[in-house]
Amino acid sequence: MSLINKAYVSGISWLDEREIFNKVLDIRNEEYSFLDVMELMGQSQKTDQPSYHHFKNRELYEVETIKTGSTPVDNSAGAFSDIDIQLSNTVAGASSPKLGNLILFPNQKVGLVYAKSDSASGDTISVKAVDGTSDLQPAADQLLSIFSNAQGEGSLAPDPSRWGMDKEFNQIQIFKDSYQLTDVQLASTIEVEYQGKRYYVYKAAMESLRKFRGDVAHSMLFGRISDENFTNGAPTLTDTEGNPVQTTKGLDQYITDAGSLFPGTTVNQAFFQDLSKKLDQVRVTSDMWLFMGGIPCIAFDDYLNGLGNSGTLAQAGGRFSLDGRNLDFGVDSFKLYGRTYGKKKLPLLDNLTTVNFTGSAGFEKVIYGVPADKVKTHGGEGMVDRFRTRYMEVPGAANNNSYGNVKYRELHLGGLASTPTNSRSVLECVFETRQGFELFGANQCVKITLA
Amino acid sequence: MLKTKEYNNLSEEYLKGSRRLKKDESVVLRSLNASSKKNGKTTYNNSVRIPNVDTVYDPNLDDFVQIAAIRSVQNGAPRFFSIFFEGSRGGNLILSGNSNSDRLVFDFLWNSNFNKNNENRDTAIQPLFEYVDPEKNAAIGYNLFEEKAKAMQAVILMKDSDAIDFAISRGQNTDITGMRAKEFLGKLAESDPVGFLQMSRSTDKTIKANISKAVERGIIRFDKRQHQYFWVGTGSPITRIERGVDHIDGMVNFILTKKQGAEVYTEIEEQVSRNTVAAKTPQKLKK
Repeated sequence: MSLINKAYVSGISWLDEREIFNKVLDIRNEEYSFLDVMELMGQSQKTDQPSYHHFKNRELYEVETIKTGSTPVDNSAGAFSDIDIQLSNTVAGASSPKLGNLILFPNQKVGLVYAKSDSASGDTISVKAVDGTSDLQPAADQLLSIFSNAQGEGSLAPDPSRWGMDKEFNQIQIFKDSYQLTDVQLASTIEVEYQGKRYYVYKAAMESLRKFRGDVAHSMLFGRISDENFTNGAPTLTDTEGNPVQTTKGLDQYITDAGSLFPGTTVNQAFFQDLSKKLDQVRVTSDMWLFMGGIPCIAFDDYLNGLGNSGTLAQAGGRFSLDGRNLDFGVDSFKLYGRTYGKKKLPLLDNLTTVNFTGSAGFEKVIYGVPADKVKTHGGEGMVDRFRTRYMEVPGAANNNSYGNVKYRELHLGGLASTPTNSRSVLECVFETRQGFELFGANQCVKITLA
Repeated sequence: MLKTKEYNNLSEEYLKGSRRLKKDESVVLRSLNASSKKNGKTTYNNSVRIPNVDTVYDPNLDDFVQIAAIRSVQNGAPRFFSIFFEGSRGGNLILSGNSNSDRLVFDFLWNSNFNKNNENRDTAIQPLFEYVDPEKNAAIGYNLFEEKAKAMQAVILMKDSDAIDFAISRGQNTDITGMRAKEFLGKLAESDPVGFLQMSRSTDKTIKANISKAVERGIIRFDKRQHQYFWVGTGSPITRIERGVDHIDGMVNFILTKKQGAEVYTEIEEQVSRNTVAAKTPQKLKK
């Protein structure tokens, strides 16, 4: 019996049509990175030099410490209303009190500085209680607030004051990536479509560009600064050809080096109280952005939903969005202790292969708190964005073989480029950019790491 | 430690073995995350908060106990201390045995897993601070002082010719005089006495000096792009130095570890001593 069944037809070589879904599924689903967020907000600024700097002013007042192990001298027969105390400075004259300064002691009594002698082992100041009788109760390791001054009638001017400023800097990093295709592969079709076309070159272009931008985004977050090697005759970091390499400082290092750190944190009331107190102390008057991945989001939602279960709040009906069928337990922003916090989820902090995996560096548990405002400039009316990318303009961004804009450049090379650059039958495509990160007022930012 | 139903229920034995803050005693604890160093300059961040609740293992109970820095208890509910190491204090927290608050904070901190000096700590948890031991600090300071004295003494007793070779091996010009070499080495000994003493014991310094002299006198040259040494006279290659390795160190390694290296060094030494420019590659080294 000559039955034509499936096995018979499939047995004829090449005759079966292949059943393949003609789209490739995107399992990564991470279109928006930290870099995209910044670029969408228009926070990019050109720099004309590979390193960029800014100055910030300092606190006007300094806290002084009574030297460890020192014994205050009493000049008032046991009353401790007139005392000599040694401070903890290690450079002669470097302590801040001047003659005529008023000092606030921990017991809330106030004394006037009437004598000072400088010493590299700690300046000594003589202080008299302003009411003449109060026990100032000085003790080693005590902290003193030099809060004001009182001068004599017809007196000379006090010693001059000066306040310095601190410089912060960061630098650009060169990012590149490339792909190459031969003439045969460029012309061959494949079973799946990219942008409606069945050529591998479209896949290569998309993946390469996404990886390239992903590298930039990761560095904007986790980059650690290198030496300034582009301007260094003896660079400390080079590529295999001996060319200097330098790296930019990302958001994490900015905050770790200058901000307030909350390691081993459990999201609870005590944490929010401490966070609020710290933000008040560093004079963050505005709302806060909290950039985080999925793990902190869960911790925040759980804690805030717990708050919602308290009797008064639930009765007030202030928390839930309820339309009869859907309950919304998610929290995008919340106000606590007078400040509104906006949760901003960064998918990059959940990246399966760079951040969020067992044995990772732990950034999946990190929340970056950045004031949602602009930074005031000192001695002027200006305001500047809190954070932004800085880029070097690429010359010749658009010519025969070069595409892109002033920030990103796409270069086509090889014998198959629109204007061939050599005789080899390949198409080489190179992406490049020169960018760095910049954050102002990092001392007002916080890094919270969950336990 | 203030106890509540939930917190600080450590066994008596555990507490007896724990360090306590005595009256009139003050201790300094230092944050391990407060500072960063760049270009020799230490900068401090604003502050580091220490969690005020932790879980520790009590071997006497064979169980885990939650400990907390409790300030007070109101109607059975604890109120916690906020514990911050401030950058403006150099990342230090000074606690006094004369303050009840400080003693409560110390009891918690000392027994927590965040204390690097806690022998019972959970090592999977990152320590956040350490105890600044004045005795240990004094010993470190004294040892440094002793090393500095030894290093300075070594400079004083060094022969001029040795000082010149040593200075050249550290990148100084080959025409340096004995006095200037000693001045340079004195500064080096003062800034890094331990490193200086190690370097001064090294046999490499004469070899390094001769390589520097050979380069400066045009006997050999180092091509930065190719990362390779050549004889100047003939242009013949000597050896390629691995990228990322200092070229002088790489050349020393070649001389000390390769048979051909020893021959090259003999030739370099000979030409340096003659102070002549190599006209050609020595016959014996030609392949």
